[in-house]
Amino acid sequence: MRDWKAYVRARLGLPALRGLRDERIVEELAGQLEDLCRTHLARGIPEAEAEELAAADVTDWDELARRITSAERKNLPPAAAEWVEDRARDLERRGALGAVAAELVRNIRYALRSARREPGFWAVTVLLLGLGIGATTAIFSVVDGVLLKSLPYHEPERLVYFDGGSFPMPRVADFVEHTTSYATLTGVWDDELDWTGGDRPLQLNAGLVLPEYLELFDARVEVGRLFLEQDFQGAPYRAVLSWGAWQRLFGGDTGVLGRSLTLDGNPVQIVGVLDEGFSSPAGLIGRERDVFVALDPQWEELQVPWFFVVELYGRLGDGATTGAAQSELDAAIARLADVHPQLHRGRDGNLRAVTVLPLQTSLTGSVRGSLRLLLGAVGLLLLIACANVANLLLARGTERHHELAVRSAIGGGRVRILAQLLTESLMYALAGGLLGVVVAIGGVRAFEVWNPSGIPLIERVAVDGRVLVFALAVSLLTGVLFGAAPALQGARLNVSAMLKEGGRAGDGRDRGRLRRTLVVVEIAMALVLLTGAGLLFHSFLRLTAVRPGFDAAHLAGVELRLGEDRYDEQARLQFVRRLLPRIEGIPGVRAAAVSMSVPFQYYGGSRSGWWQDRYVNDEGAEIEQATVIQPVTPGFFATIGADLRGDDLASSAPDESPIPVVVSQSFADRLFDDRNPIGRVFQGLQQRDGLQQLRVVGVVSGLRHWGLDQGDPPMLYVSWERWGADFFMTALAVRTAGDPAAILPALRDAIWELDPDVPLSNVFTVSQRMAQSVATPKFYSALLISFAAVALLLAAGGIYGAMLYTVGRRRHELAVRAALGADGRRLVQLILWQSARVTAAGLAIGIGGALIATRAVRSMLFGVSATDPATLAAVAVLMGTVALGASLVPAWRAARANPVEAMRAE
Amino acid sequence: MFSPELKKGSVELMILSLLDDQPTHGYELGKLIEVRSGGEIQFNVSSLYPVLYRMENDGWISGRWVEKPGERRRCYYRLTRTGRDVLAEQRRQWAAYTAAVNLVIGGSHA
Repeated sequence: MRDWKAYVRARLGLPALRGLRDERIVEELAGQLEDLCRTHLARGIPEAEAEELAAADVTDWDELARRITSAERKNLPPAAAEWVEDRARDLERRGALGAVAAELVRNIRYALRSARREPGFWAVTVLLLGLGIGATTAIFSVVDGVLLKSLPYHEPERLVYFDGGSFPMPRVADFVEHTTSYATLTGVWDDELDWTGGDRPLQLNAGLVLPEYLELFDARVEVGRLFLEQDFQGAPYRAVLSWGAWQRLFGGDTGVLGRSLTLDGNPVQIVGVLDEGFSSPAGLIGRERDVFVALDPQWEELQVPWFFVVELYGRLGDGATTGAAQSELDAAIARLADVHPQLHRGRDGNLRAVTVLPLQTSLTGSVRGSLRLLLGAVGLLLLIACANVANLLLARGTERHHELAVRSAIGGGRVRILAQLLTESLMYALAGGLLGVVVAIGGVRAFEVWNPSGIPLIERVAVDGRVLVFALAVSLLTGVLFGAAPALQGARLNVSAMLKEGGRAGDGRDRGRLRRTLVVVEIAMALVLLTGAGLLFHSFLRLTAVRPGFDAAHLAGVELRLGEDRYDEQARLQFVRRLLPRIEGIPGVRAAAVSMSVPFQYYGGSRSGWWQDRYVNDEGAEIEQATVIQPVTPGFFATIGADLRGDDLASSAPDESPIPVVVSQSFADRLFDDRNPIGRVFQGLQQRDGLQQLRVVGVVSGLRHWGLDQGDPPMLYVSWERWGADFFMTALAVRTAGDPAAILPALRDAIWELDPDVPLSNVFTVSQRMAQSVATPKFYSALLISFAAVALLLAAGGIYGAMLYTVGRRRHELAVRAALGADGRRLVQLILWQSARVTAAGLAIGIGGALIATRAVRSMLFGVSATDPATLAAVAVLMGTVALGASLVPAWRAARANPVEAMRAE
Repeated sequence: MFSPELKKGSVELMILSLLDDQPTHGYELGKLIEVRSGGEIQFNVSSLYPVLYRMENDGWISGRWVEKPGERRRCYYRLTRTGRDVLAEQRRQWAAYTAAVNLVIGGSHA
């Protein structure tokens, strides 16, 4: 028997019709011709003749097509679809590959068509995916820019950094002499230099560079030249300006070449300006220097073992690896430790280890963990969005069964149906990806604006080609992920059952189970996210609940740069003695004091100051305790509002002995255990003539000088006039009656009235510093909370949908129960019980997952353990409540099940 | 054999009437018309199906695929509620029309 379908299809030139009617018509006409043919055969006519007779039933195929098309005009596709179908047919004529392409084209068209039929469904799906993909893409672009993109230098993978802090120059010389792994090994001394001679004194960020430093980072000049060999001789006197500083300070005037700047009181001549594209490693993390000054490695002032100033960078030579360089360096240090123990051994006698780090790792090490955490969190969010979309597709699948059954019946095999459904998922995903890119652009912008200065290399973050490829990949992956389950379900449909029943039935039981499984997964993942967010939030609350131990709300601070070039000890004393009364005379100022640093002037783990660690306590026991010595003027504690027990440091005679000191509670605990420290005499403050006799006059407790998370570190307060005036680090603390921000200008004026050449780039309110100090944890917890909130919403939506579906599917059963006398409450319980089971399963898995996953946040927590039971319980209760809440509407529907419906269905 | 114009005026009424008895597929419809008309009225693919499709698109009839054991799937048509109304109206009109035509051409020939 002839293949009538192919016969008809080849002759009947029908346009593609809505709802696959063209396929149906071909099949029906073919069936008619086949029936005719069989009738002829039954009459004993030979097959060939019977076929001819049947075929003759249609004399004019074109006329038939015209008449059918006329009858079907309301099912005609729009012109565009027709055009697409024509192209698909063209493709089909080009062999097997063309047929596949044609199939794809048609699948895309079907998908678009179904989108037009259900715009609401499409909008929701694409929105969900767009948000998920967008958030993921935004975080990825940050990760890419910060961690993955290679640095903008020639062969960046060969650049290394010596991780071990700053090194004294003689040690640098040892490294240079005893290593061979580097094509270049050079360094920089980052310093702040005061530039006087302009309108106002300015503080410049300077990099005092060893030979080849600028060349190592591919520096080129805009005007002038880089350093020559003779520039590196003697005291620093030749400078190259960065492009930014050239624009900012000199308006891009080329006349600066040859000009002399007074930096820290010394004349330095400008020989060149770097081009705009140059960025040193410090520049990459947003701290570009204004000026680079040539530093002679032989400069005699640096030839001491205790001046830790130079940071080292190198370029590995041919064939050298980081690992080999590390081994070489370890061996060199071990060897040299015998020759120069003061350089290579610490005070404890151990070797001072140095790690050779790839430059990029050294720049981004601090945020690597946090960014990975964010990427993981946002990935979870995307997975939840996928589960949600899969759920939506499954729910809709029921309505589409008939269409699928028809397709499957008219010769679409399972593979074809699978292909169609997957094509559709991928279209959703790609549309979501497109929206996601828009979301990502906004997200990255927001991230940059919000970035609490914590993330290095943030300038390099951009939604660029790499990120777009990522977004595309994620979209495709997502499409497969959320499309797979519904597609497999679709392909498994029992076709004949479906057709017989008019497309109402389906594997409802199976489908319900799959949907519930998806909801369990959603709840579990949402719980993991919630736990992470909860922990960070809890930690943030703990952190901000820490009492700083002083009155931050009414405190302003000023860094006074009384540099060595213009001030000696006496000049500083005179300056401060004249300054304090003037400051206290400003209206709104309650008190003022000078110290080495003001609380929160330095935060984030660095404790800048004067360190001493040898003490002998009142019982003669020698105690080693690293301690910051803080010289303060009388009234310092009252000025900052600290909790002081005992006496303040009064102005004391220069030779008073024992020297009166105030100690922090932690220092007292360390030296005197639980003996009352006040009045005790001990030894410390190592001077050339040995340890000094000290007497405790007061104890200050709970003063968080270096940040809320830094505890109450051991500190020793001494008289500024006696111990602080000879040191350049000086700061002014001012207590105000009202808002301290309001008097900052008056503070500047008062200082400049005394000395117009004091650079004042660091005038601040302490409360603002305090806010900055918690900005990073706040940022991460806020970000994670927003992810978790979205996850919670999605999971709630998931359980709502699943329960609604269950109620729909069990409507008949519920009606029968109602008919048999079950009251509404009983029916509500029935549905809530099912919801509770799903939720409980999700919570159980989620808690397990959270216990593993929250290890990732451990290092970011303050005062909260990563497995904090209170947090876990709180988020589990929250998730459970939300899940049950989301089931209330479906349950309420169940309660209204109508007993009459049960009869009607029978 | 009757002229196509004559058939055209009555085909919808015939199809609706037949489907009023029971759901039927297209081939069966053609045969039923042929048998009941004593072989006088015959439809082929070209004349029957465009009409069926137009009626379906107008919502008078609706087709559903049904597969019976050992048989090819066939599309069975049945009357919709609209179709039933249309059938009643067309029957009334047809009766009135033929009566009127008979009066004109001479009732004895009817």
